[in-house]
Amino acid sequence: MCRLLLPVFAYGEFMNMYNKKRMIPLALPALILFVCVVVIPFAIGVVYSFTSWRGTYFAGGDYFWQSFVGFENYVRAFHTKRFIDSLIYTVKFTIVAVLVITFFSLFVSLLAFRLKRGTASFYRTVFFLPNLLGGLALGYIWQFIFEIIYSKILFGPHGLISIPALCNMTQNNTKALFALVLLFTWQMVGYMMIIFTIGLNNIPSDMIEAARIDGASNGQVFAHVTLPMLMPSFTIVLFLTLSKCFMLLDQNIALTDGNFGTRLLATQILRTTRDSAPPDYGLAQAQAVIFFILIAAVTLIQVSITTKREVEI
Amino acid sequence: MKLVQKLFLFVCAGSVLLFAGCSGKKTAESSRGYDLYIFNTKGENAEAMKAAADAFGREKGIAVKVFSLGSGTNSDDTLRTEMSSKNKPAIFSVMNSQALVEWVEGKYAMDFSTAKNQDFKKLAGSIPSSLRLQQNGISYGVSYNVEGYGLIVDKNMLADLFGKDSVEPFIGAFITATYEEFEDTVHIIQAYIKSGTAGTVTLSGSTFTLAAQKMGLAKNLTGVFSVAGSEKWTYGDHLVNIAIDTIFPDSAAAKNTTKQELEEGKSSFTAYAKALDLMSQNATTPRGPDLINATINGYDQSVATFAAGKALFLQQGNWAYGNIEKANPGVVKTLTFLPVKMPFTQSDIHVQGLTVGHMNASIPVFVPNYYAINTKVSDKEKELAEEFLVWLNTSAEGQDFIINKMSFIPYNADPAKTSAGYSLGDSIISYMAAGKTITNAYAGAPVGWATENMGAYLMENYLNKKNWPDNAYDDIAGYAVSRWEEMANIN
Repeated sequence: MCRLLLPVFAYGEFMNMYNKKRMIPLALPALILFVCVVVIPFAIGVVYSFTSWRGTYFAGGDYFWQSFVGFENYVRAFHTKRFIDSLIYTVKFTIVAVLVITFFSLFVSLLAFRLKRGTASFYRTVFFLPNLLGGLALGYIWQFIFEIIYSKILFGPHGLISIPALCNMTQNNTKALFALVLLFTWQMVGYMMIIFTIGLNNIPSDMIEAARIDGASNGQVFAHVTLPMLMPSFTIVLFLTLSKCFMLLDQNIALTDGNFGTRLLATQILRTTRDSAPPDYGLAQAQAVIFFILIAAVTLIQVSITTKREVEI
Repeated sequence: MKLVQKLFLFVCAGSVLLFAGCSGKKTAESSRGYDLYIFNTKGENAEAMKAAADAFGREKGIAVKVFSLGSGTNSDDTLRTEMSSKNKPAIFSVMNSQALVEWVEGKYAMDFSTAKNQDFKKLAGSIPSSLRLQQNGISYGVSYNVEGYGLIVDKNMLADLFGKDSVEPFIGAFITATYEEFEDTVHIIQAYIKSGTAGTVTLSGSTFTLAAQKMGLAKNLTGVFSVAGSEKWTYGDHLVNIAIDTIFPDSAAAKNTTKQELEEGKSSFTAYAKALDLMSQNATTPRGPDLINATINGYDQSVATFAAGKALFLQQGNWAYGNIEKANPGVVKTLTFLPVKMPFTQSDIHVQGLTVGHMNASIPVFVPNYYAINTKVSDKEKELAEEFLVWLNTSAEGQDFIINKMSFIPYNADPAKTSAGYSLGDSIISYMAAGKTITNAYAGAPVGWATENMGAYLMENYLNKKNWPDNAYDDIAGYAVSRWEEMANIN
């Protein structure tokens, strides 16, 4: 939801710049839609998380107010081993993935920045392509890569070079985490690279020139000019990768389907209704609310920290 | 500020209007375009079901709407959406007594004793008790059909292994053979496949000699079993069910089990672990990481391996017929079922009247789905639903649809008269005729116990390892019992 709110804030700034009266009718259709398909269902969802909702009926009565259970669903969520396990696994995955994705996308955008215009856009297109694939398709492609190309052709006992750590990566809790990081990095680097590239383009060349005249080395220019000037890009990149890693679902299902304890939070919430009969939608909803609060808290903290580091020119 | 308030009001009003429009009640039959709505779960019979519904509609002069999902798609969420909508299905599907809880608690499933149609009451009463969908003694479902599973084998393969004349005697002897004889047979055939050492196998006292030189189809063999190691349900549901059948007479008994019953049944799970050990050790793919590799040993791959003649046995049900046919049309005509065997002793069996001999010689035959009637539709539609189910299951035309168009084996089939029209279906009917069937008690296990717990535990700890530790059987049996107790909240 947080991600969807951003354009609304952006709209706010836009409105200040132009005639407010004309903006309102223009924004209205989008706003009504937003309220109907996001705000209202979200509010209903929060209400349902306090009831014993079963998907088609409320256990204990005909209406939701007859089946209020207070915070029971939330207490149960934290007592569900699978929920806690998937929470820990998601946090681990997010930390590794955010670091790797940010590093590589910055690296790739710096590389392409040095190239000639035509070559650079060719590389950028190539890096961006994986982003156009859907999560499930990507998951199945990488399942094949890990299970056949890695385990059989390249790194298996009879492969080119035998590297057990890269063999059967989908069959071990820790290896699968890195397998998922690899997959998601491949998917996300192109997108994040574009954001960094725009940031790099926005750094005035006279600043770098001035630093060079002052005798700064390449490393010093990067650390004291480029990095601080890229902070706005870091804010966006970290925000997007953090939230996307937390919310990862399709790739997780397609690659390991949660086997070997690799359920991420989103998968866990989706599967909760299949873990019991009758299906416990109330519990799943409570997990979803916790999930939302968690993502909102983490991303808001991150945005406030990185925004403070942005340099005004 | 005023502007913001106006805007807020406008949005509120807009959304209220929108939602009022959604919940406005229109019950006119004509506006929704049908008189009877059937929610069909089996994608396999989608077209035949539509044809049957149309035929019934023409007979009655009504419009029937059928909704079917794609084959193999989980329909639970879609059904729940339909149930929450304005136009609810009158006939819907329930898989088993565990799934029934939801629809009874939500007051959707109709108690069949409240039916208005006398023919329908008769139909509901005529369903054999082992094939009923019940909760607390009340019937809620009419069986779709029956399905069965076991070790699928190609008779032509047997002919190439033991000689053409030995095929029928071999099948007969195999069915009545003990687990020990089965185990020896597996080892001897595996040795024959791997190193070509011909030998003789003894089943039920008769001996069968392997051809001195591998010939014909036998040359392709790479293992005795084709095991879909990445499909947790093949060993987590179906294989373990055979052990559960020795503990409980039906799924309802399994659902209402006590701690004591489960603890006493532990030895059956040990027998199950031994059988799984035997099957996975003699699979076409050596037991280890490759066996659970979804790209190499998924369902489709295991069927293809069998269809290509690389394995002698495939543990699957008659639903795999279409897939086998797609992989190799040449083998489907000569397929038959053999029972899955486990090393049970009489002390492992806790079901009244059940013997080791019966367990060894039987295949599970059970109802995979039931038609239930929705109480939350109009009385008129409920009566049409009752009439449709009577028509489908008792009229000659309805039976023709079930047997010939849907390729189903009717639950009320008379084994002496019915022909399924395809090898595996006829094989099931022959077991039914001989009375050699067991049930699907595993359907009463706690939801998720079978696939997501048992299956996952085995896949992640055993099927991916070549060598099992000494306490493996005990550990597997212990996990089966303790996880069940935990999930069913019985302590």
